[in-house]
Amino acid sequence: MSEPLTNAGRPLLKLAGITKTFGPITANEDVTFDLEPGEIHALVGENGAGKTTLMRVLYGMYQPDAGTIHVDGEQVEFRKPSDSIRYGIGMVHQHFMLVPTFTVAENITLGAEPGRAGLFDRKAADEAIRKPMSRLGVDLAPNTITGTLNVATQQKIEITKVLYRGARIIILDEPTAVLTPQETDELFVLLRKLADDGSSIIFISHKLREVFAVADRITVLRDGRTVSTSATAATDPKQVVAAMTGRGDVNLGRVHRDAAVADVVLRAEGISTAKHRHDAALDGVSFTVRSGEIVGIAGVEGNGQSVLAEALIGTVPLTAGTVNLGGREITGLGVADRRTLGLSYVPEDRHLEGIPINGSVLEGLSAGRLRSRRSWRSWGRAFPKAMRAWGSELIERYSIKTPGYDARCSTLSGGNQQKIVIARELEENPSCLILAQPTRGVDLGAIDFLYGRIAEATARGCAVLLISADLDEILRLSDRVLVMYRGRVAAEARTSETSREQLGMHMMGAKVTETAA
Amino acid sequence: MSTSTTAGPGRRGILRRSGARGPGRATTRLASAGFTLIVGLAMAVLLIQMQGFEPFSTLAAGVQYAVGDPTSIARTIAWGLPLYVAAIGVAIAFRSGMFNIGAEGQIYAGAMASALAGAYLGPMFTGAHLALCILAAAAAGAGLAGALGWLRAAWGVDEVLSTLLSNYIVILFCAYLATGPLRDPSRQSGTTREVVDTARFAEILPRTGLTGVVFLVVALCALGWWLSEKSVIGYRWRMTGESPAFADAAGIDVKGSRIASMVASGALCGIAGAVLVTASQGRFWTEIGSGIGWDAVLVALIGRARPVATLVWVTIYCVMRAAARGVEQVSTVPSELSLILISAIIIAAAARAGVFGQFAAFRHRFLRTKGR
Repeated sequence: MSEPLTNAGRPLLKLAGITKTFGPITANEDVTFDLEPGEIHALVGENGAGKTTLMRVLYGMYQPDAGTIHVDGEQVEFRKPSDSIRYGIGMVHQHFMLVPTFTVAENITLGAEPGRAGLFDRKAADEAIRKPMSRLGVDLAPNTITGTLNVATQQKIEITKVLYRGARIIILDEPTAVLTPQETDELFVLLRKLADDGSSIIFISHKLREVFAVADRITVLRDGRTVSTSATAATDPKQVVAAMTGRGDVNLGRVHRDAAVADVVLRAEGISTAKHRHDAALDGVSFTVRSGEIVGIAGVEGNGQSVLAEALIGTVPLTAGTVNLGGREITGLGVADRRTLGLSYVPEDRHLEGIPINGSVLEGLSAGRLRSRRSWRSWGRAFPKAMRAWGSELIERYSIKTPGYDARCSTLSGGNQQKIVIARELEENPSCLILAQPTRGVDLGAIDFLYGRIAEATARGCAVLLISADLDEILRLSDRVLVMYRGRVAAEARTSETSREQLGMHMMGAKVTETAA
Repeated sequence: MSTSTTAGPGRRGILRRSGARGPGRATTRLASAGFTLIVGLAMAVLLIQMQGFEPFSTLAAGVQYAVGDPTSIARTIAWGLPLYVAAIGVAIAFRSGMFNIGAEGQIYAGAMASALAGAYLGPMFTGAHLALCILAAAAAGAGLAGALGWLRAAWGVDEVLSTLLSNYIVILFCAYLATGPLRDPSRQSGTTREVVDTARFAEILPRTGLTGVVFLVVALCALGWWLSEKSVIGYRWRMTGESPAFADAAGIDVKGSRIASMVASGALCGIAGAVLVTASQGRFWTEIGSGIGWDAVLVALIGRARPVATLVWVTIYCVMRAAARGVEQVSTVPSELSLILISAIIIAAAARAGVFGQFAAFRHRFLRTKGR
């Protein structure tokens, strides 16, 4: 970390009074943000706080309804991204904009290729990308095919792309979401080096630990407004969380649970699957989860965690191995039977699998009750008064913010949508709960609430398998943690006896220890 | 996180604007229907004007012919009865994500089955004979559509293709039966034998063609609406159609729902064929369907597979067809022009109802060739 930059004369970039509305929704209201030369300025806030809107305004993707943008003291108006690129603003998107089959040189120069008459001048391109690549310490042959590189390197290609276009201001949108802890640290070193060289960086994140590790200043947005801007050294995570959520009581440490760990509930033995979509195939995965216990599954995305969840609930078939639930083999059973036997599942992709996104809240809540109704009763009414009352009661009990049980799920925020899923799954009173990325895209206040409900479930004796890309989440909740690497369990440890760094090593497959289930 | 979680509305599922129950939607829909009718009216005025007739009086005569007095209303409704049943059937399949465009074929299969049951069984007690004819038709349609639904559920054979192609197989096979082995020898054209009198619905209003089958049609429409919109079965079907991945993860029997909804859809389309035979034609002949199955598909699309909206659109469609016949009688505006008019109105309605978006979704499905 470096000294905070509070002095200096005129800022490199100044956004003042930015207001942007979409119909009845105000995404940004009178937002102020500035950036000094050579500074890393973090922009934090919950989902829907207006971070992305603000950056899209800056990048020329949206036109603000009010407010001004100054670059180097000159008032500018960005009508499209190419305008802002001309003023030296570059954006590294969360989802990479790289063509996997192109070479590194082709990707970096894409859209601003050297050469004439529509011909790609390979030599000139190789020459042109040399300097930005060396600035980042990327040592790659320009003709390497991009798709063969790992995620962290691809991210560096993205940053190179921005530098190649001559960016002085680099916007990074959630850049660490796809990285391991070690890769994250490397990225931070790199960002610091770029800042020391004179680039200015806007770092968008909701992970406070990272913000405090890398940023010089922190600006917090809440509900579309600037809540605070302060030097990192002059504030602390508690204050920032309070600013983000508007509450002073959000717990950031380990979640308190009083659950007695008892008998084995879920036992997977040597389970394997075929390759499924983008995820690695499972290759002989074995583990147990006990009653009252939370077992975390850590790993870089794409190492088999998603398939593991789907194989356990029964939407992906096994090619080998067995799954036992409460002493009963469920290997060959379908989803409905597994659920009837006490398995519950919070899927990773909320919009596709968690809720009927265009259906009503009640339709999302009631799947568990309507799934198993048999024979002639299925001809009866799906939502009689009793069912609607039950739905209203759940909305109340899980404090789901919705106009009513018949509101469309798609109109709810991520946190409230996830509460629908959690409410439905916990109401089935499961003996084992599989959570896949349970708090992705969920705001801090709702996370607090969801963790509380999960802790209550374990106190009732529920066994929980927590699959998460967020190591903090795993460290805060789980008793044991398994690390997955290329479809295998690469390591297992008690949470109290391991560290983020150690887990990170295993996540990269650096050291494969003996697997013990 | 903000960018990653904003998935587009309904990346899967055909009828994505489903489950909408908020206030204000009804008015939007009414406005949409109004827009369509105005476009249609303007087109009609233009076309009639071009033929050198006074547009408004000509149109008024057409409307008079369609809904001018109780007799004409009854006649218009009688013509539309099979369409009501078929459209509800198609809508039910759409709701569960099964694009059953084999309605025409299922209507032919049902018509053939009921014509055979009506001609070769009996005479017997009328109620029983009619029930037999209708059950035979339902079974034929249900078997046909159910088999195609099973192919989709079990083997991933896209039902858009299979139902479309099944039309030609079924219609041509029925034509073969009607012109070959089952032909009525006393007639020149390709028809089966006339059904016995106990297999015909009695007219309830003289010289309107409106028979007792109207009660059956009302009951079937009510049943279809209940099944699709209110019942637990309908909930499973709708979830399967709108959010198949959600339904799967929630433990809803997605394959079973797909097959069952196709069975229900095929049964209703088959019954529509039986209505044609037992309530008006009295026998199967090679052109008996006259495109009612295609009309049903169109109307269900315009009604976005909502049973009530679909029924309203069937009514509008029937009035339009009857009015076109009326216009034809009082002017030299040929029936071809009225067909053009109807097509234009349907296109306008389709544009409003987002049908083109739905077709884009189908194309997308083909290009990705990912059978779920």
